[in-house]
Amino acid sequence: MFSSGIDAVVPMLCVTLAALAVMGAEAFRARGEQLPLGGLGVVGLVGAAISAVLLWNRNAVSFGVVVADNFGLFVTLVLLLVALLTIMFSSTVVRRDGLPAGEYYALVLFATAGMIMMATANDLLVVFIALEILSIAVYVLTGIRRDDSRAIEAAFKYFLLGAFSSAFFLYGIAFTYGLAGSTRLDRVGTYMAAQSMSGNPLILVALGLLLVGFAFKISAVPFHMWTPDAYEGAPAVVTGFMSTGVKAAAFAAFARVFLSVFEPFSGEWAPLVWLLAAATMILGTVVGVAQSNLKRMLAYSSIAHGGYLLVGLVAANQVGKAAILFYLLAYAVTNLAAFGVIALLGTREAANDELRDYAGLWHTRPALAALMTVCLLSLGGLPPTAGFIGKWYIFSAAVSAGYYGLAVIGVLTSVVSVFFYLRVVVMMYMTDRPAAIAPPPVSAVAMAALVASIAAIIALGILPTPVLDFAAQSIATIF
Amino acid sequence: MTGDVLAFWGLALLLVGSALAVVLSKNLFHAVLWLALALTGTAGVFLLLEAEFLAAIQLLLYAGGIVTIVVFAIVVTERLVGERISQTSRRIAGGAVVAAALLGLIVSAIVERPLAPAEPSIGADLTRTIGELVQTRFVLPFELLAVLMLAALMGAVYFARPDD
Repeated sequence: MFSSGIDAVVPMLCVTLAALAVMGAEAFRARGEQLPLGGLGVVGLVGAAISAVLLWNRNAVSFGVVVADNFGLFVTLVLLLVALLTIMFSSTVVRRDGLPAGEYYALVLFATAGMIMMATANDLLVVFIALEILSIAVYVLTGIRRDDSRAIEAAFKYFLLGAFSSAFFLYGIAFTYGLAGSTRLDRVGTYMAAQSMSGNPLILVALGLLLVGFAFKISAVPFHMWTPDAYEGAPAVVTGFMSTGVKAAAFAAFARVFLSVFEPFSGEWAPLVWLLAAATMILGTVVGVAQSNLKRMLAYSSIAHGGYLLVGLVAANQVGKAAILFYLLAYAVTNLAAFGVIALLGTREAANDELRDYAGLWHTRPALAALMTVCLLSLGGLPPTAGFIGKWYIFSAAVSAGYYGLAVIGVLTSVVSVFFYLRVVVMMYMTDRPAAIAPPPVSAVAMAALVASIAAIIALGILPTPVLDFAAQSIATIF
Repeated sequence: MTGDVLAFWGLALLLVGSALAVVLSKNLFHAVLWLALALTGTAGVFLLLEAEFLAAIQLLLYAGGIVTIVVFAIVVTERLVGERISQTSRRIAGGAVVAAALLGLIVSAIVERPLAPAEPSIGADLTRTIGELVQTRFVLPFELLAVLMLAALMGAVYFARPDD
């Protein structure tokens, strides 16, 4: 019950230590001196990844509240990949925009540490603290360009609504504790299993409040209001980080709490999540069509993708289980790469994130245009990309679980979404007018990150089976 | 027993009244004073539940620390902006409907199935036991809070510091 070993927290510890190292290095940095702070972060991330691999299949439990089961470790590895790619894209952006490197990298690493903790937490109290760590860090990152009023507005909106949603989540935890007498997920799970026939309305209150808290963080409709503003106002590379990392971490905790602890009440919550999923897919797609700003369009697109993930959660059968984790990985890599391209096309003065800025990009930056095309095709779910396989498994899971309605909505919204992804592609290739933007140089590190992501998208699209098996084994540890 | 019940309802009235005043008073400074009252009332609830340590912390941190900081924030901001800031809550009616619905839902659930009063397992020396628990069973959440504070402090300093 109480293990004094610290094994299960080692990945999170590596990332936290890297964050502290970055802070320390920044504090002792001579004025004007350039330090490889991003490199320090990468060292921590690699260390964390190695420890996560070593923990595989061991089900280590530390302090009774952190459990490094394969599910948590799979998400941890996805999160480490997200952080690694973010840092690689950031190297160019931090220098170009004159961002404070010390604070920036330290906050990215603190946020990553919080995300890892959230994915592996086995106690609602720890889930909450982890959620706050990642949220606070991401609020600051959103407004890291203090000179940009749009970024400050985005950060403030995100902060206010995020704090509001945390209150819901906390209230849900309080009711759960009041009922079960513990915040430990295994004990709450035992209590819930015993109470499954009692019809106690307080359980539904607790469940509903927790659901609202999670829905805010994964920006499910109707709790998505903050998303477009926050995603548009933040620097593109930060948007990429939060639209993938925060969503993956929150979704991992969501799945852990609802698929294992509240599994006896799936008859109660499944219809609610069904509604959330349908509304999220529809609104994200329909409003996305009308956007002329690429970041805002991708914000709505990532709302819609949250809806597809929710479909996987509702259709939690054998196929659905593996599909959730596979989709999380495919979406994370794809979305991060897309925002990476946007980030690399901006300049210090102009973000260049309007759709018209992409006119004729093929003529000025053929490589970036080609890479962006692959990302957009994957987001749209066209073969042979990771996005196609992800959607295929999610929808087939929905069908085999009998949720035909959700599958139909999913396919229809995917078809509509292809329209707005292709609009960007058409803009890049078929518009003769040379792009108005002077293409900034792209560093080798950022280009390597992009090429690696694209390779991963295509590899996952052509040979998904090993990763899918891996995902199926991982999620089997929680339910 | 009746004393407890009387004290509870008195505190409840005080808490709900002052909390409403925080949200509804136009004058921002008055709102903060009402907030101080609400936070002190919460400390009273903790006392009633025999959680003396929590009551003391509540008074020290919230009624003492947080309220002072908020007062400073208002004074400094008004100095910077050069005008009185007043609280403009819009859509009060809609908010009231949603809040009332949520309240009705929770109250009806509690009335239908009251929670069993749990006897606290903490021994006689409350503060000592809490200190020991924080260093043993809850050591990880405790250390995580340090990480949270560090990230929050760094963010606050970053936004507050003047441009180089």
